[in-house]
Amino acid sequence: MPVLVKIAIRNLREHRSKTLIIGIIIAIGITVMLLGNSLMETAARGVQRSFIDNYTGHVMISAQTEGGISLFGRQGAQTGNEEIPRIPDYERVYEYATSLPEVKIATSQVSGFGLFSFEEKGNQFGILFGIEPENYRSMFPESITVVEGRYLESGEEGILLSESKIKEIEEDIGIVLSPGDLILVSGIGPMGFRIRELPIRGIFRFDQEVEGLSQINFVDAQSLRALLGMVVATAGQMNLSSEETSFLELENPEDGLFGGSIVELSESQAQNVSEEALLDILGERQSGSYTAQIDAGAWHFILLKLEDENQVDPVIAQLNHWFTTEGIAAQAADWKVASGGFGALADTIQIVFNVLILIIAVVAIIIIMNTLVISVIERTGEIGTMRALGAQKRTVRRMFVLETLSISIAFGIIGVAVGATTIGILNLTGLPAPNPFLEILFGGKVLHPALPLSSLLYALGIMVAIGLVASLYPVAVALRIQPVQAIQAE
Amino acid sequence: MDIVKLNGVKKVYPLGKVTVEAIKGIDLCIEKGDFISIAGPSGSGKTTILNMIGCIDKPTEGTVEISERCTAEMRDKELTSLRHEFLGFIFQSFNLIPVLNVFENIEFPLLLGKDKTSKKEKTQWLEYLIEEVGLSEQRIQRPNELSGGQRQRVAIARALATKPEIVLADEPTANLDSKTGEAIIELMKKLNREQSTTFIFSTHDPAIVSIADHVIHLHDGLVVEEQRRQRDAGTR
Repeated sequence: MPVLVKIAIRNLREHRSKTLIIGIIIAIGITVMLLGNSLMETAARGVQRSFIDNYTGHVMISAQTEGGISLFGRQGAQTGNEEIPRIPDYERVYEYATSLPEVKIATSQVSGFGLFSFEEKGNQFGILFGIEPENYRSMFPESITVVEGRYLESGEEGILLSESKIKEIEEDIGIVLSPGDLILVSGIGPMGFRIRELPIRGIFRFDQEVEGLSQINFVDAQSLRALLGMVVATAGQMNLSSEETSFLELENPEDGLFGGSIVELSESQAQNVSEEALLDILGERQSGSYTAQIDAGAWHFILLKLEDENQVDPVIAQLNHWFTTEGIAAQAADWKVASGGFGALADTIQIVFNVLILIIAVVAIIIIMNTLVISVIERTGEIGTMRALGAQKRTVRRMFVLETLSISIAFGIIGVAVGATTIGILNLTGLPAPNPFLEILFGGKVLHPALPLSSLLYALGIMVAIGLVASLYPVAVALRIQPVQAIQAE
Repeated sequence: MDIVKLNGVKKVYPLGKVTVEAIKGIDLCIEKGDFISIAGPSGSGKTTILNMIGCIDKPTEGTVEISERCTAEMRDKELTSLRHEFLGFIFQSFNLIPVLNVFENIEFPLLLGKDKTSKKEKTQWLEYLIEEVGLSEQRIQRPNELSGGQRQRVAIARALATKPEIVLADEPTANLDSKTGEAIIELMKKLNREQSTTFIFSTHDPAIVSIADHVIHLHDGLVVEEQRRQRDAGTR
């Protein structure tokens, strides 16, 4: 009814102070929402992209475990105490997963934690991703750039160290490592520590540097299996050399390792059994003598990239259904699970943001509601007169809803304009992440927030909803006004 | 034909812990086309009677019938429709919509219902009313730009806009100068004759009382005297 629109708009103009109070709240609310939503959505996309494209793919298949499992291990990303179970019936699982039409490419991975040992100079911690190099590179072609040396080649043993790890070692240990050097790596497996000397094939950096993931280093899968003690059930026979045999005759060989020098215990053998030799025996520093025992078919994870991102959930459901049907104790999960705590961070922040929105909404609703109730009370005579003249309750309701909508839309547009301009400026200048936490959240060092139409509609929708909810009680008050109050009003 | 019937109407208002009996039992019949004045001193129950006839208040006891329709059983929606279709109101304190101008205020009741008359006819009718109440030059002014008398003339024109069968006026000339008041009464009387519109007034104004066809004198919530005159007898 045009006259109601006329009345609504003129009333808003007449009561400028009230209109401004409500309007400013709406404008600020919508600006905050638009900005927050845009930042969150852009960040979420950034995080998602950096994980899917660089480390996780869309779907991760692992063995069934109690509690959480990610590419970094069990129980979150930071602990290495729990052994990651191998995927049972790996060949069949891989074959089935890669046969799905939605699956574009797949790669398998072994994950573990390692200590880079520099003898008495100290140790450095690192996350080890055991990969099949060619396959892994096909899956994540733009994940890393080799800055020195070269990429791992299939079938060879070796390690790719991250640039940041090289720097850490240089700063903390004082050793400058280069491709071609050998590095002593200790792995933790169910059978204890295993030590291996691996040639550094190259030094790399992630194209999207995210501080939390700079601990990742790539190693050939077979070496990592050896480090983690992923052996076949029956150990092969070992032929010990005379030096090794003589060492085993020692009364307390552990003392030699952890207590003092072997030389002190047995002078006669001091010339023959060096610390190096001891490490060879305990740690199998060279691959040759132990190769037969390593389970070459053991993998912790199969990572899948799909043709279409929207197929993630159906593919996961299909895989899990197949595992159940076939009685295979495996499970499929999405990139957030695969990335451990890092991917869930975006969700957590989103929840915090939503709570913030809820608080803003409640505060806005209360203020708008109060202002409208005062307005209704002031207009009791006018409303009573309208009712006396034959205005139905729905007409009165429409009048107030129109007022609320007019104010929501008018100031909503102002809020959108302010928000969109701010986002535009931030998009041009970029929003730098001042700390590693925000780097993870931003999916990189700088965030260029975008303004998707969905965010715009969401913000406008929320503000209109706030306006309508806030008008519910005042409208109810208005509808309680009886026509007879027109007579009583001055 | 009786257009308004009040049967044993009582109205009791709560006033703190006590109750005030504003109407103590009134039986009343008003014929279609009546020009009726409800007269009486302040507090005698004039406004209460008008409110109940106008379906904006309900009796505590007894029944009110408008055009042979008993209002007691009606729901709010039906009562609102009844007010819109059958009744026009002139309030003592004008009760104009402050954000609408003279023309829009008068037009407002026409916009509340489904009226079949053409826009042209409506406009002609509204212009006629504006001219009749002498506000042609003020048609785009807001109520706060008008004098008290002018505001009441807008209210009178608005009450007549929907061509109601009954116009209820609570002290309609109370805020008008005598010349304007007489002109307004003449207009009402003219409409009363031409449209057969029933006019019911509460008033202290002897000028209106003297031209009424039917005068009901109230005192302390009771009818103390009822006078019927020959129709048009009061026309000057």
